[in-house]
Amino acid sequence: MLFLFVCMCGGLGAVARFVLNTSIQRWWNRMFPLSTFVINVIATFCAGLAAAAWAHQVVPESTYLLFVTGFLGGFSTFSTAINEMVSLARNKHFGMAAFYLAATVVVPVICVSLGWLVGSLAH
Amino acid sequence: MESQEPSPSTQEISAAQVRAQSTPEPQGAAAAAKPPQIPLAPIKRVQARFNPLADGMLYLVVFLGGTLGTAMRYGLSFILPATAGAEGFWHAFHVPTFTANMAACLIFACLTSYLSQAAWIRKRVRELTSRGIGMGMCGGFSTLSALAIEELTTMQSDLIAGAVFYLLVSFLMGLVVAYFGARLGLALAARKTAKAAIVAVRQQQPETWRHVTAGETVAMPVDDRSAGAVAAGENGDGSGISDGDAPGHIAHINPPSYEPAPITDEIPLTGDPTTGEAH
Repeated sequence: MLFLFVCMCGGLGAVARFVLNTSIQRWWNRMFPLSTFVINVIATFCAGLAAAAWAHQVVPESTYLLFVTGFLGGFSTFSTAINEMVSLARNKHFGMAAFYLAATVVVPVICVSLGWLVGSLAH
Repeated sequence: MESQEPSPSTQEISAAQVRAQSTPEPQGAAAAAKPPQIPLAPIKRVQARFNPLADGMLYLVVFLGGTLGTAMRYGLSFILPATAGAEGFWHAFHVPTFTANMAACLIFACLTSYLSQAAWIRKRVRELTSRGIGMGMCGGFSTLSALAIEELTTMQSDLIAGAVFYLLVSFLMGLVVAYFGARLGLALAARKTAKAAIVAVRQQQPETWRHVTAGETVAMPVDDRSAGAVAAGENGDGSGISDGDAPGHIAHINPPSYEPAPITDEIPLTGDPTTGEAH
């Protein structure tokens, strides 16, 4: 039963990503794929928060599973980011692809640490 | 009678005219370097044709795809061992997340490159597939948040080298896998296109095809109507197939008529903006 709920939370996360992605792409018309980047930044920050909450025993494991494995797992995306890099490189925008790769490698780690810090601070 | 015959020169369309009509160039304000943007009418903003956010079907396929992708990722975490090693360097390497990310990269790259070439699939079907499987399923299957949490927990247990290795290998392998996935999708689409082209050429050249020149009289085979149509089209003369409808009856032999081929091109019109008349 929990398995099913986790999966449905993943579906909700995907829908949330679809809405945010479309809304950002509507006004952002530069080359940098801002929508995926923003989505991943938000997801990793929330993941840090949730990890801190779970580590300090604020929330039960089922809530953690529903939110992190389900919702955030469906919300954040690795495949779209990688494919945006590949398509940037295939269109000969090597500088932008390298910049996006570096940003996607470094920024989520910073964000998850920030989320962890904020979560620990609140505790 | 003589005056009603159109002179041949008026029936010809110069190559320049054809070129001008086939590739329309923007004129007026649209020809500017930054053409003015016309906002969508308010009523159209809530129509699914113009706004993906107003399209309920997209929400459904993305939700179903995301549910399926999450089920696959969550299921993998039960099947595969959580980390590559019990402790030490390989303890930082999380096999289920890595496998899910690589598989999602491959499927996503293959699918998007294939759909970008697949002109034989209806546009709506392509959009729903791309949203449902690409955005929903692959997006839900792959995850960056789990990767980030794993990085965090590994770094907290002082496995910095393993954490950095896991992060870099994830991204580099993802790039390689996505590149080959895109190549694979393009190759599959090219194969399908080549097959379709061969079928189209075969259909256009049936066994009984032969070239007919004007003035030659041809007995049409009745059973193969498409061949007759092709031959008559070559001749510019439709009289050959008119008698050939009864099966088993050899077509009546007619001398070719010299009616000119009809001009089916649209007449170029230049509108007068002040009066609205077309000359």
